[in-house]
Amino acid sequence: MGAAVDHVTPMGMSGGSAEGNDKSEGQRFSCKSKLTALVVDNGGVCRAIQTALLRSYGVETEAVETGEAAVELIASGATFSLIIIEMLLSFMNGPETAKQIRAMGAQSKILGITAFFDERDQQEFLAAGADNFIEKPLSPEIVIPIINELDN
Amino acid sequence: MERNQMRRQLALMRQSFFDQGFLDEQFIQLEELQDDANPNFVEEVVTLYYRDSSRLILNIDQALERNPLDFNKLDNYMHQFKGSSTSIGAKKVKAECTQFREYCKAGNSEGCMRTFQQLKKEYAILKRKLEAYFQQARQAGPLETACRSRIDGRGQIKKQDLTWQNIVIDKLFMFYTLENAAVVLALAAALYRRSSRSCTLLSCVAARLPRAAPARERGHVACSCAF
Repeated sequence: MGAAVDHVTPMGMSGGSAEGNDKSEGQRFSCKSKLTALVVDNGGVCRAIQTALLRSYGVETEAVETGEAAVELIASGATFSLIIIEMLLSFMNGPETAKQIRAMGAQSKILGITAFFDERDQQEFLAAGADNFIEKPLSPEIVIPIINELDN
Repeated sequence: MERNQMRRQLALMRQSFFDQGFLDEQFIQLEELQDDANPNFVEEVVTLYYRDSSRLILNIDQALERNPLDFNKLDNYMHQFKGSSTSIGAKKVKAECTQFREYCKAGNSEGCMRTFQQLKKEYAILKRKLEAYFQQARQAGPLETACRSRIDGRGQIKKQDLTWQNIVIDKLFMFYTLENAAVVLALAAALYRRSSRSCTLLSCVAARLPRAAPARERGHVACSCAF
């Protein structure tokens, strides 16, 4: 025995130093109440990753490809705690989608997301009723505070 | 032994991707999303990325043949390309996307075409590296998944493995530090010596090392457990 073990941080320890500690904290995190989310993105990769991330925190998540599909879903009665909408969609764009969703009376938290941050896009999205606007990727640092907020 | 060596090589390969700037921490996010429910998540997403991107590249190539260039259309294509590249952590590809967009905004055709050639190069290099990586990972076998199968996606012992030993081990490892490593391991070993399941000990120890810990460390710990 007595093999030299370099610095190792066990997953159970919080507040410790070292790489990836935030990630292991993020891994244990889970939402308290029953939360639901909708991802609206025309890119399959982004849809897959954002959905997986939200689900890993216990959020029941669906994904659609277009703004039209999102509007239809909500019009049919589905409600979501959180809706993440990409700026540039294939047909109706992000802000227009947000506008229509708000017009239906949805109280969901709407997060606009984009590949290239642009102030004009941000203004457009916020004016349309989005609560926030961020650049990809969707990370734990962004999601966890939002989930905490929705939980309370 | 052969397997341990393969896994060591695999870890080195993986580390080189970060050191040489091909991948960034977003790739680690993908790895964190991989668990028993999604055992091949990373490879699946990367495969999806290359499938979707190849179509985008074709579209951009065709668009670059037009005269004059439709910068708006190019910008839209690049928007999606950058989005997905960012999401999988393709650092160099993402940088080229950003550069391309700068030239688009400036209406610089030359710049766009040059950058796109560079982008395709980086894209292809990363693709080769990742393909080799996944292939080797498959050969090296799912050792890590086996270790992590005791632990669910949230780092907690699964209900069915809640034996008293596992509960004690879990608590024990909260106090695991460099200094008391030997003591902790000895205690853990003593617990399992009774049930004479040293592989269980190994899997518990390995499961508690952060996933980012290089294979070298895992190897050291494994050696100290093997008796």
